[in-house]
Amino acid sequence: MTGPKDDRTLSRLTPLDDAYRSCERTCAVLRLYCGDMHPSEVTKRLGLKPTHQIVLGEESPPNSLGLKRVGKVNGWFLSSEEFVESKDVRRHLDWLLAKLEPNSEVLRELQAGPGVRMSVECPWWSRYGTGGPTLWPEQMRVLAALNLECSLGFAYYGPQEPAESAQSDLPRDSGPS
Amino acid sequence: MTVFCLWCGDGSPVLWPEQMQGLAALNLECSFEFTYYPEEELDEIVDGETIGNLGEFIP
Repeated sequence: MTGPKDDRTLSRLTPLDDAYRSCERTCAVLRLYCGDMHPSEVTKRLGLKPTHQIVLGEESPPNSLGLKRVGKVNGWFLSSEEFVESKDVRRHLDWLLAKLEPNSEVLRELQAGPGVRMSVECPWWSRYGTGGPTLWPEQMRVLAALNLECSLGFAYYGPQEPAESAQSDLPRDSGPS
Repeated sequence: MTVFCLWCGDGSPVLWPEQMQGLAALNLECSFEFTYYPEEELDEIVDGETIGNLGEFIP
């Protein structure tokens, strides 16, 4: 999706950079809240396994703090974080969109379902309190074609390493905001 | 060339498909600059008192 330089990329200011020095951590997550539909139905229809899911009324496995919670919504999440080693969010979006683009018709059908809400979220944790990601037209074209909004969640946790509590922010699963 | 979006503080700007479709059609990248300010400093910036201290946002 984001290939080597060609005529279209020559005019762009921000080349791909896997080191992306201003970024502490980033990824791309499809957050799909599926109304009354069980997340396993989303898995079946998309032919993709989620990296995380929550089921209405069911207790989740304990998190890193040993805490469990009961799902308040049905949610299906696919995150690039474990699969892409890059601080450039475009790499993460490329991975996620390559999974989703072949399923564009199914996504459209799901979007038409009652109570279904979905979004691509890109948490972007700054290393120094400044900086920011760049999206290229290649990612935006596919996001638009899939009728997916894209949110960029900025955060800065100071010079210390991100705290354990921050780990639980990825992905958010408290329901559509 | 780039489309540059400044964002002060925590939180999440959102692009909708309509904006992304337009940017993609124009072959424009969209670049975000996130700047974190302590809350009291952010209030001053919003009031316009220290806007000159924002500096130049040139990549």
